[in-house]
Amino acid sequence: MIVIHSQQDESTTDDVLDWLYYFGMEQVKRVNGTNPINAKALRINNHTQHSNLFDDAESSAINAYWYRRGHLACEISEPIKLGYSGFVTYFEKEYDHLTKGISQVFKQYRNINSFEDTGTNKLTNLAVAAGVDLLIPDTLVTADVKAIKAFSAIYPRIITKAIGHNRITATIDDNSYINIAVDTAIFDQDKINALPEENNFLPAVFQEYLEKKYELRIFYFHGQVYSMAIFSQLNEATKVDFRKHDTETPNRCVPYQLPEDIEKKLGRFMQHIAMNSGSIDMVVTPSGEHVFLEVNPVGQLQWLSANCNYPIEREIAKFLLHDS
Amino acid sequence: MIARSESERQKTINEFLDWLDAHRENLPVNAATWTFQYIEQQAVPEHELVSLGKYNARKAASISFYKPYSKICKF
Repeated sequence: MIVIHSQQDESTTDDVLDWLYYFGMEQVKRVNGTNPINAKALRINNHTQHSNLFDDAESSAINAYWYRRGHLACEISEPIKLGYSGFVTYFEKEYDHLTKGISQVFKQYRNINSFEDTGTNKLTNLAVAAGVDLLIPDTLVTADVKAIKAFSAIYPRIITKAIGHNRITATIDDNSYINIAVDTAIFDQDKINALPEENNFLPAVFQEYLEKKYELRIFYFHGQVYSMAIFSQLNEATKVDFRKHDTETPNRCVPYQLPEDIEKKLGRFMQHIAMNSGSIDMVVTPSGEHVFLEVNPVGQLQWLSANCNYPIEREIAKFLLHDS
Repeated sequence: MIARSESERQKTINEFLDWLDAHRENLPVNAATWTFQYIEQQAVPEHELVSLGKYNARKAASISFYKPYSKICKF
């Protein structure tokens, strides 16, 4: 049996399932959304390790596992949440360990990623990328205004971004909320000068602004790379961050052949962070340098396969079938 | 659910921005670059979701005239 952990409206999962059915595989269990682990079991001894996380998908019958999207969660009751705050902190840390443990168990099967990969750290990933000789942007993480001013004096422009998560949901009531986007943005001198030096700020990421010839989205999958160039620089909406899609005049996206040495370095990088699948963002500078930005374990795939005619979904299906 | 009027939306956003300004020095140092969008949840009723049978998928929207790749090409 193949187990796929996804979301009910996740389209890439549909395409991969379509290929699995085309190849004659019927033993597939797709599990959608958040999976509560409260009443699940993790068994570990000298002979076996397994979890019954996916109910009727007997772990002994699982041949392959794909973590596409969705969550594992331990639900803590409201009375406990409203009680002593230290309790919740303890329980969240405690059950985070369990979640990671269950996640590791599913790595013993032929797998594509695991839930644990959603916790990949963008800062340590930059350090790892530099360690395998990929170019990275000069990066400063701080709340120290003096340090930001000194950093901004080195470069013509700097950008800022979130440390790890680029969305905040500020709940207004049951039916409405304010969506706060912490996207990559230019941090200009006006904003820097407006910061009081005596403060109690929380840290953020600052990086040198890179002039771009074009941007790259690269899907890495068990040693294979599928690369796409995105011409984002002629559109003001996408110039700083191509993820701010302009649906009226979408960026031109074409297949791209990475230099062999960059492919090898990306392979070493993915091995170092122990992730077998991920969507990598890079930029190519006007002088032709390839600069690594980040890797997303659950990135969008359809626009890559559709724009470049890459058989990504088919290859994922073949991998799950032990046919690659 | 009754949709809020534009003035109600703007009032809510303004209250939120005032709160942000009051706490600016306790927020991340780059909070001045954040952008905001007021969202009213419009949950699609269960009966309006399209179910894709054995795919175990339920969708509010899909690609027009979707045809699986495996039905388009013969490999």
